Order: sequence, then C-alpha cells, then structure tokens
Amino acid sequence: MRSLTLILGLLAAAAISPATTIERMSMDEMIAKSTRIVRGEAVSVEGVRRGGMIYTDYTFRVQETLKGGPPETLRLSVPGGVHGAARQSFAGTPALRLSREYVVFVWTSRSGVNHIIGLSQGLFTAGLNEAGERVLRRGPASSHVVDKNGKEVADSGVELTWGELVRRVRGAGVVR
Amino acid sequence: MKRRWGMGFALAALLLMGWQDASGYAHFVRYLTKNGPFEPVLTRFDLRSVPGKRIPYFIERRGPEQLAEGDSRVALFSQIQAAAEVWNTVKTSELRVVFGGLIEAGARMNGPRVEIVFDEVPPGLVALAGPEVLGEVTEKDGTVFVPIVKSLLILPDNMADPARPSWSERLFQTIVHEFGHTLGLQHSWASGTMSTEITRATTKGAPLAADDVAGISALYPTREFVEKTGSIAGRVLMGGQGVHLASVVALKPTGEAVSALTAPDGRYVIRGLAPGSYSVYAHPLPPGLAGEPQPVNLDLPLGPDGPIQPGGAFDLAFFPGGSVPEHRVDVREGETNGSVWFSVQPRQQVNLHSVQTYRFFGQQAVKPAFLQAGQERGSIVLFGFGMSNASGPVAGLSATLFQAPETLLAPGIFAYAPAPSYLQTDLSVPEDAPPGLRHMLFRLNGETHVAPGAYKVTQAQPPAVEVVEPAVNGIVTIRGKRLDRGARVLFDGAAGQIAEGSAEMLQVRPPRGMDGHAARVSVFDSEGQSSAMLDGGTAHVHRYENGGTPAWRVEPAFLPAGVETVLELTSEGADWTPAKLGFGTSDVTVSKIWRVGAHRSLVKVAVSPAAEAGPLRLALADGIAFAEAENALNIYPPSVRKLYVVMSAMADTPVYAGGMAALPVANLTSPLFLATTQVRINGVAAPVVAVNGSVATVQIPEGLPAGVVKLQMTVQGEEVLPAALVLSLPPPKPPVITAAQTLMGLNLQAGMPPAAGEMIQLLVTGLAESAATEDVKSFSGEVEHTVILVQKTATGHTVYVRLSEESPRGAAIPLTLRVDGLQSLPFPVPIR
Repeated sequence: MRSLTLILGLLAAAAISPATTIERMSMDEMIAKSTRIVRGEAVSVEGVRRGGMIYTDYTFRVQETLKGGPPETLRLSVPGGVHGAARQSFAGTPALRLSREYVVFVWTSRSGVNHIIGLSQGLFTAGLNEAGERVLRRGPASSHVVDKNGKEVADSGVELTWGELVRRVRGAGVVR
Repeated sequence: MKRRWGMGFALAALLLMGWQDASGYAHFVRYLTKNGPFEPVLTRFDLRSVPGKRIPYFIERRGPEQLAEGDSRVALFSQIQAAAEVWNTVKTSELRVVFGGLIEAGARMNGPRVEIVFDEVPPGLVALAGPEVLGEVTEKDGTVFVPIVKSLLILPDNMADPARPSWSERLFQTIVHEFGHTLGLQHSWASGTMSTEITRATTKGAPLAADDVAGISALYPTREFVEKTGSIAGRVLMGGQGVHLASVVALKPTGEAVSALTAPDGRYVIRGLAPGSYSVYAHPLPPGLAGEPQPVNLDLPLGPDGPIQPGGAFDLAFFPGGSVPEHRVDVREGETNGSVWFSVQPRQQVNLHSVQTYRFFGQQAVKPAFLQAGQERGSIVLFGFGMSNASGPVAGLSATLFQAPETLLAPGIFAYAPAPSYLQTDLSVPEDAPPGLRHMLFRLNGETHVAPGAYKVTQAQPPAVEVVEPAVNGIVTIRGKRLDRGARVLFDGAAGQIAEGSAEMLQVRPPRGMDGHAARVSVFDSEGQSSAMLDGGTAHVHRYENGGTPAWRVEPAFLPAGVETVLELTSEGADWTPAKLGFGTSDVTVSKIWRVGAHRSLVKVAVSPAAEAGPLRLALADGIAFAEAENALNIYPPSVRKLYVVMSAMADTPVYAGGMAALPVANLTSPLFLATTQVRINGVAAPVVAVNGSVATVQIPEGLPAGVVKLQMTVQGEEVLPAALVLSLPPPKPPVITAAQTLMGLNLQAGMPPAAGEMIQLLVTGLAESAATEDVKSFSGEVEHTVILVQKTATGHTVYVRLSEESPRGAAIPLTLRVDGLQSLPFPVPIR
C-alpha cells in the first residue's frame, strides 16, 4: 500500500527559508536533542567571526533552566551578522531583542558553540496569556508537521504554557 | 572606474544615472531613501573584477564527517559540481561559476568566491547559504551595487540522513537552491528552484524554471537578456498607498511563471519575459511558517533605518482587477509594458497558501505532480495551508484549473483516503494536451490562491531502468523502458556519453571515475523526469574498475604574484585530461585547459597581485574522479619579479601560422631590443620582426596547425614566463594569376594579342580545391569577362575565359579574378 507513511515521509522534506534549509522538528524532538532548555533574556549582542563565518552572539542571562546545567549566562550564536565592515546574510536566522524574555532550546556543538536548535524553531517568545499563565509563542506553523520518518506531529509549539512544557520535559525524563 | 560611496553621494549619483540593474525579483536589496524614489541597489558579484566573469567555487577538502550508507565524499563532490553547473546553463546571465579546487577550513584568499564548507550545524538545520558584503555601495562602469566579497554555502558535518543522500533529488535541489542564494538570489513564489521546497515545481532533471532564469539574469544580464526579453511593470496600491513586498506573477496557461516583488512604494518590474501574452496577478506574501523568518520568508530589504517591513495582507487580484484571470498583458522583446497597475483590497490575513502537490509512481511519491497526456484519470495528492482539517477539505474549498486543457473530474477536491487531512483531485488529460506546467486556483471564503506549477503534463512516464550491466570495453549497457526520450544518463553527478540507444537499451561510456567507486545510475528524459522517480535512485550502481589515478606535475612550479602564464601539466600513470582544475585559491584563476598530447596539458592561469606566498595544492576533477597534488604550485613572495606575456591583452587578436602576433611583455625594466628578444613557438624559433617599447612582434612559423601552441621567450637572456597562443586557420588568400595563355598553351604576347570575344586560359594558384566555375569571376576594370570553365590541374587551376566584346583594348589590359570576395592582383593581358 502506498501508505500514509510514504506521503508523510515525503512531506517531511525540508522547508526552505531564504538561505537556509530546515527540517521541521517536533517539540518532543527538540526536547530530546537540545542540550539545554532555558528561559531568560538577551542582555547584549555583538558580531564575531569564527573562521570564515560571522555570527551574531547574544549574551543570554538565564533565569530558569528546564534542561541542562549551569552556567547562568550563556553565549548564544546565530549565523550571520555584522563584524566590522563585513555583513553576512543568512536569512531565516532569528534576531533576538534585548531585554525580551525568551525560551530557547539550545544545542551545544562539540566545539562548544551554543546554537538555537533548528535555527529559529527552538526560539520562543515568553509572555503571559489571558489566564496569567506563562506561555511560549512561536510564529505560525503549518498545521501539519511531520518528522523525517513520516510521523505526523501536532506542532503544539505555536503556543504552549510553561507548565505544559515542564510536563513534557519531565515526561522525557530530562528535567533538571 | 570604481568608486566607493558614502550614502549621500551614492544617492545623488543614483538619481542622476538611474539604476541599470533595477529589478523587482527577490534579490538582496537596499534602498537609499526613506521616502522614495525607491530604486533597488542589488547585492551581487562584481563580474568585471574577475577574469572571464567567472566566479570560482571551492569545496572544503575533508568533506562531511558522516555520510549516508553507501555514500561517499567523491559522489557528494560530483553532485555539488553538478549543482553549480546548473547556474552556468543560463544563457542570458553573464555569470559563470567554476571549480576552483579544494580548500581547508579558514583558507585565506582575496578574490570574490563561493566557499562550500562542512560545519557543525544544530539539529533541524540542513543547509544555509548567503553572501558576505563589506557594506559599501559601489559604482562601477555606470552601475551601482553592493559587491559580494564571498559567499558561504554550509552543509552539515553529519550528512548521514538516509532521506538525503548525495544522489537524492532532495539534496541536489537543496544545493542548487542554496547556490542561488550565494549568487545573490532570495526567495520567490513562482515555483522555481528559488521557491521553498514546499511550492517548488523543479526537479533534478529540470532544475531551473523561467523565474530562476529571470532572477539570475536580472543580476548579471547579457545583451540578449536586455534585447530579447520584455518586461511588465506597474504598481500595487491599496487605499492609494503602495504595497511593499507584494508578489506580482506573470504566467501563461501552459508555461512557467515569472515573478517580482514590489518596492516600498508598490512599484515592480517583472523582467525576463519571453514575448507573448500573460495573465498577471498580485498576491500578498504568505506568513513565514514555523522555523522560517517572520513576518515573511525573506531577508527584508534594508533602508536607511534598517529592514523595511512588508505591506499588509490583501486579496489576490488578477490584472486589471478581480479574482478571475480574464485579461492578458502583451509583452514585446526589448520593451516594457508599464501600465499594469493593481488596486487591491485589504484582508486581515493570508489563510490559503503554500500548496504542495504529489503524484505516485508505484510506491514512489514525486513532486510536482506529473500527469501524462492521454491519461483518463490522473490523481494529484496535495496539501495546502488553510485548506484541510483532520477529515478532509475545509467546507467551501474549491479547486479549478487555470485555463488548462485538462478536466477536473468530479467531485473536485476531496479527502485523500490514506491520510484524510491531505487532499486529492483527479484529472482527465487529453491525448493532445501540450506538455508543460499547469496552474491551479483554490478558493475559500472569498480568498483566492494561485498555485503556479501545480502539476506538469508530460508525454510519457519517466524512463525506467531495469538493469545496469557491468562495463565491457568501457561501455555500460543499461536496459529498461522509455530510455530514448532525450535521454541523459548520470553517474552520480556526471553525465555519461551515450554511444547507442533505443527505448529498451542504452550503451553509455561512463564519465571518468575513481577505481572501485560505486556510482548511482539514473536516466533522465527531456521533460524533467528521471528513473529515480520510479526506483528512488538507489537501485542501480556502476562500479568502476579502471586502475589507479595518475601522479601530476606542474611546470613551472613557482610563480610570483600578479602574472599570467601557461602551466604545463603532465601525468604519470593513467592518461587523463582534467576537465576542471584549481589551486584552492581565488588568487590563482584557471581560464583554460588544453590537451596537447598524451599525458600532457597546457593550463592558462592568472595570479592575482594580492596572492599570498606559499605552496598550493592542485585539485583535478574529471567526471566523478578527483585527484590532488600537494605543493603543485608555489607562489613567490611579492618581492620576486618575473617577465610575462600579457595574454589577456591579446585575447581578441586572431593569430595564425605565417601571420604576425604582437606580444605585450610586462614587468620589463627597460624597453625591448630586437637583438636581445628571442621567441620559440612549440620549440621552433620564431623571428621577432619588430619591437616597440614593451611589445614584440613575432612572425608565427608557417606550417603550424590551428590550435594552441606554447610560446617561450627570452629578453636580454631572461626567461619570460611561458604563454599560450591559439592559432586560427590562416585567412583565405586571393587567387594569383601566374600566366595568361592561348588555348594552345602559349603565353599571350603583345605582338599576337587575342581579340575581344576570343577565349583564353589563365593559369591560377590559390583557388580552393573545390572552386566551382560559377564562383569565379573575371574583370577588366568594370567590364566582366565570361568564365567558361574552372579546371583543377596538378599545380593549381586553369580558368577558361571568354574576353568580353566590351573589353578595353591595349597591349597590357589589367585582368583580375574574383572569388568569395577576394580579388587577384591584376595581370596584364594584350587585347585587340
């Protein structure tokens, strides 16, 4: 049977942002693959060059950690930016606003660079909903998100309460 | 002349000179004004700064750390090269990208280039690419732009994803797409390779669409692009105000779409349209999906105050208004139809967008949906944002075809049974349906969405490969079905040479490969389909058994910065001539490779004045084979001076055996002297006939065949770096009359002149072997004699001429022969 899996597998093809190709990740995947999940705010920003690449590095002050350990301040690197007179554009990369509260799914590379998982997939703004609960918000998502094995994923990450995230992280057995 | 500008000066100049590159395509754009006029300053490579308008690309030598099972670095590199070559197929773009060699991470070089590197990237990220600029608006030769100093294309260190091996359509199209970004293209919404993978209707077999061709050509236009295509221009207004970043699309019912984005004041220009009539519509950009940038999937144009946000959402509108395509806009070559204005109605948000369509071939799902002419019921599976819920289509959703000859069968659009949140439509395709892309319209609650390239009609199903037999005498036999439909056979990323073929069998000489390498074999037809659509691309492999790779040597092996020369490349072992080679730096450019004998090639190179001293690694590629030679070439420190022939200054001067060549020599400390300047061409001494300052004029020895020759020179005992000359065929010479005779073979004499109206014979040299009687004319002044016959002889030709009754009379009347516009010197003939 040409199955649901087949078509979902195909639909799991990357979505392409300008200058980037991303593979959609479910919330559970992001929880599993992140090295840290933190809530906090960017307090400063600077462009740095590592090898041939320019990064925008944010100093991120951590207020709460759901996964992973210290430090309480981390340097978060986003590809592209301005360094001296040079400007490198990798559209599709997120820009953090200083002093705004975010929840970030962080992936630390072997060389120790902290990235946002899935480019901007792992970046949520944090705020309060009408009930006064802390919620995570991300841009509009296709209602059908599938993983690369063709498994359909309800992308509940569009708006998620902090409590629900905590439960899901605990469910994954990785809560701090 | 090149100038770098402050914003104020740049703007003033722009207003005076206009914007040669103004375009509405999705490029990386800056606007220099806050309030208009809004003319885009584009980010692009400065082709005038690189030899041959060729931008080199470099691949990080180590490759990714992990690859999918059965994959290899060599196979991946061949696919990267093939993806780069895709952009070289655009005839209306001046840009050419060339393989520049392999590099180590962090390699230092100066010239503009594209670097393909492998790096740690976070999960969920497959590739990224983009240009680096120095932030300066530059004016050069009348155009204003932001020059790209380098572009990066980053692939992950871990490429083990079984869904994305090197031979997959998915990875290939990703690399083509990302390459587009490195060259200065952003996203568009017209189903080309620069669209998202969701809406893209291109394939590995047909990787570029008209929209991509227009986009790259607008950045790097040839004269043909300017003169042979036309434009549609106008403005998109909402409530009397211009809409920024509206997408305006021109399309034909059975053709590809071409699009443009509006400037902040709503103006747009769709360039690169073939003459014809088009439907044109304007639509708002859809919101970025999860993981995509917000608010739209673009790197926003930059204004003096930073990124300029898009205008608000509105109802899609066809020109001149409404949601139904009823009117066509005419386009003529070299002209702009500038009257295509839209007045659009606001809506709260875009709900319908991002439609992707599929077709199943057996167990393989393929996109876009391919349907065959004559198919009574062909099914398309689709998904679009805002169109379905868990049980099927949203109530009220309708689908129609865009002026297509196909018929949408009842019940129209319905739930796809195996996965009801996906949708299905069935179509009937007439036998005589013209091949090509088709477009669909979707409507819901007053909102209209156009899906350009929603499906493609082809004349037959894709080629099917059943077996790839081991090579016999270097020829691989492929058996299957539909193999003869414009077939192209790829072994990984390189094409084989088809020696013989039929629908059931192809005999192919594979491209050069590495010994032991297993190459994936796919057959492509001329309609963008491939056998991989049926078998997934993994089923058929050719394993190379061809001995080792040769060792390579380069002579001269030491060069200073800032010279041009020709290197002699010799191989020991297998005899192969590399199709591409590079030294891993943009500071040494290779412009030509000539095979001049077994194991021997000449390579024309230029070394940048800014080249850094040190050893360089040579990388050679041919087909899917790679070879390297460490320290093949060394760059001297800048203090070293060498004489060289400035070949680039000779490029347009034809030279040939027996003719003269002017050789400009650089780095001289004193003028040339005739007595102390010697030249050898292919080892044969060539007389220097004149010198003038730094230019020596040399006579090319007779007898050298057309083609490349190596030129060696000494000046006052100092060796000049070797150079190459490409000899043309000698120009044709006029015929020479050697004798005028009676028909008895006696030379005409003044004492016994022939009478006007009598026949004589002329002995002639220099006529072509095949010279025909009707091609040869004979004259005395304005009077034409009659050529009766041209006859080949052992020493030349005999031309029989009847002297005209109108001929002038005298003891030495000049008589000439003319053939193919060439006229002999006059030969004196007595005529009474």
